[in-house]
Amino acid sequence: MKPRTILIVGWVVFLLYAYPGYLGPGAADQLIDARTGQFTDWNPVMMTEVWRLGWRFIDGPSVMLFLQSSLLLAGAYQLLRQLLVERTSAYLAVAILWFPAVIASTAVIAPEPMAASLLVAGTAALCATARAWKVVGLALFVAAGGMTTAALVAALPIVLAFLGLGVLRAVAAWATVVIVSLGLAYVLVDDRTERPALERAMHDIAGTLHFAPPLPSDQIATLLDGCPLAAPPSELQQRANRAYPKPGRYIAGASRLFEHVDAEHVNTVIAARDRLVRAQPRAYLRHRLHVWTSELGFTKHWHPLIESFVPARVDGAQLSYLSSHSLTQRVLLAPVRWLSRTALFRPHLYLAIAVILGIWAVVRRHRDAAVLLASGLAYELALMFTAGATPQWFDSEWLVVACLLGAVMVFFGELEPRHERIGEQAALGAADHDRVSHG
Amino acid sequence: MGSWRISRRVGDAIGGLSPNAIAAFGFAAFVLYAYPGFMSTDSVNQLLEARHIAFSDGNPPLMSAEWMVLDRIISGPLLMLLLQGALFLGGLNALLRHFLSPARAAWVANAILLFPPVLATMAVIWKDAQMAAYLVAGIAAVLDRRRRVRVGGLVLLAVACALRHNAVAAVLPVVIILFEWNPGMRLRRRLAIVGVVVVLTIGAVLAVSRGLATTHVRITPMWNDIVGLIAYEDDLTDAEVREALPGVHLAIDHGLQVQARLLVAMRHGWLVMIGPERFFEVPENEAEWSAATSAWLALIKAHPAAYFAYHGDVFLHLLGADDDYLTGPVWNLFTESPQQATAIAHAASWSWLQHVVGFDVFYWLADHTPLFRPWIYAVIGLLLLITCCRDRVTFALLASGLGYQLSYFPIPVEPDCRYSHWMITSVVTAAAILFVQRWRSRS
Repeated sequence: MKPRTILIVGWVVFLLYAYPGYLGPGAADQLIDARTGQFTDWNPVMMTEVWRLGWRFIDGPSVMLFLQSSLLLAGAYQLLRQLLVERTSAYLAVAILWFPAVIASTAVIAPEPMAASLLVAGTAALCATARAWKVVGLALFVAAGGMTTAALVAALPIVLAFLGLGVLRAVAAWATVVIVSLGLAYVLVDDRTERPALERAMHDIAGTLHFAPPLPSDQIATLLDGCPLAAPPSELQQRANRAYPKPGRYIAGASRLFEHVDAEHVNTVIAARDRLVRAQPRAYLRHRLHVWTSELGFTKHWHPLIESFVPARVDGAQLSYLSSHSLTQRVLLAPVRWLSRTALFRPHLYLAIAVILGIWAVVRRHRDAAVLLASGLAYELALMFTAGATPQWFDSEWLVVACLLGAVMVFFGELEPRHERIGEQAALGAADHDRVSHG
Repeated sequence: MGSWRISRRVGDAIGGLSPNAIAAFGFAAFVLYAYPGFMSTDSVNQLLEARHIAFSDGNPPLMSAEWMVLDRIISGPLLMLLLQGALFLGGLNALLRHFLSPARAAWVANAILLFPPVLATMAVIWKDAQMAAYLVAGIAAVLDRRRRVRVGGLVLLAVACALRHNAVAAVLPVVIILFEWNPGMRLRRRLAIVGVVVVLTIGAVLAVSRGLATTHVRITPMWNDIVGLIAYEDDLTDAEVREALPGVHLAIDHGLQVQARLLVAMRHGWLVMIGPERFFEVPENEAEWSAATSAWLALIKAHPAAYFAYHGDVFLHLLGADDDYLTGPVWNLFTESPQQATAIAHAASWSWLQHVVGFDVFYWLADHTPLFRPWIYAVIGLLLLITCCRDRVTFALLASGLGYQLSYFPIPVEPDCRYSHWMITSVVTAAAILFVQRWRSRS
């Protein structure tokens, strides 16, 4: 089979599994924003903007599914083609797309899988020799940064290694990517609510109070001054212990921390969080470490697989997006569902592999693999400070993809010298044979 | 200067496209307009039958069976859309390659598929669109040099035959005029083989449809005919109407002819049997069915002028030859109601492009131009048949399209534009072929 045929067949099989795409937690809101053209800041606006561009041609999540899966497949193929022959690269790119831990994430319409796809495609473009492709690569990193800020951290090692303009210029290029990405994320918002920042602030307050030693009530009152608290400061830490880490309990239920938080309280709550973090830095770091370990899958309540096309809280008929699983999809989904209960769907496995492979790659001088693994690790580390209150499996997709790409590169990089040795010895043997026969 | 260069470059790039790339371009445009497939109540019923594997012959059971298979691969209408689009475009491409270079054939095939009156129906998961797709693919295949492909073409035409009750009228001219077991065979022998093929095909289609259908639905023009005849007859008293319909269970007591005229004016055939305005109650036993059939035949015999006046009126409306509005020239709903969407667990919405093309462009064309009026294509088809047609392919196409359209005369259907889709498609395709032939002979 030709490489193009392999890629197309691989992509079609992926679509058989994923079509028309599983809406991630915030995707229903984004779909509405994309249709109306009025962007809120509830979800990454860069993704909503991409979705709106796609909506010009195809409505619904399938256009995003086509985009993120084709970017991942094409990017992986181009990256591997630099080390391997075309057909092997095509087979391996398809294998990466089909890898259960990747297919389950790429099927979900959410900012993190899209960021992973953009990072793969951006890396492939940046590795090209033509300047135009390098610019495209940087543009893809801008888009990836707009999906999740952790992608900007992930882009740093890649830009430093593959831009090919020297360290200073590479840092300047990365800084430009960061500024443009954050700037666009700010400019594109039509309706600014600060909801994600508020949710994070409330989570940080609850987490810091939870991990802090017992604090005097007057100190809590001072630190949280102006916040619409649901209980006297003396009860607040006990409530935080009960509510943490369930974000739904911070504003509802018997152990809620806050009363109805409206627009005028947003800045107050965020400022209170900043004061609390400065006062209790160790507690804050322990809370963030807890968030990170949850992201890594060190938790009992781990449900990595999204199996419903539309989140349960959303009325699909009203959203004009409903779909059901075909028999083929149910068959394809069954092994993935089983594997999702194994360690294969725990990000800490990939973190460990990335660390080991990264060290191996540095020692054995597999530069490209080392860069990708460093990027994956940087991304995952960045999640410690950028992750929200609800960890999701697909948050770590870039770590998984970088790990797989790095593993392939290290494996074939290790094989290459042997092939060279075999080739050299074969040539020497042939020369000896010629000498003997002619002599 | 710069823009001239750019346009020249673009022109060169377009001119250098391979036939496959051109076809892919046309297919992508089709999919972008239709994605993931428009549906009506008929389509939803068929999808439900496909999912429950309980086929009725109210809609073609073969199509429901086909959908059953495809729905198990990808749920919903998408694969049906891709299948009918690919068959139609692939068939057109293959057909036009007999007259044009591959690249030009691909461009013309794209133009025919994207021609609004053709595209508007091809975008919907309907038996009409499927029938057109199988017909085009079948016609292309029966023209092939290889016998096995020609026999495959017969299979495609047989499937087309199974997709509408009156599809035989479209398929027969094609098989009779185009199918050859061996090229150059003597006419008598050829017709004998064609006769055998036709009998076998129709037999196979009936057997497959009957075998697949687990629920039998009586589809008859009888009820609408009776109402139409009463409506078009001179003024009748209720007693006279009752006298003409012995043993028929009526749903109303008085004002029978007024009610019949109202129902005819409403132009929704199913209202005769369903809803508060209905004229009849559904027969409960065979005796009532046979009483109704006898009354129907007697009415036709007694009032032939009213029969032809009624059917002529309905047929003219089907052709869009009256001043009335066209029925459903552009169908671009994904389902007809949220309840249907919930029932089949499938809902979709329009992209910007679909909205602009469907609602702004196509609706405007349908409302303000005669582009969607089928009578224009009937007239063009007749003129071409009489004045220009000199080869068997265009003759078969025109005979198929016009014959199929004529087959609606005895059927008092709802005058949906989709019923004229095959005539429009065949006339447009034949016109394109004839135009190419004339242009070539002159140049």
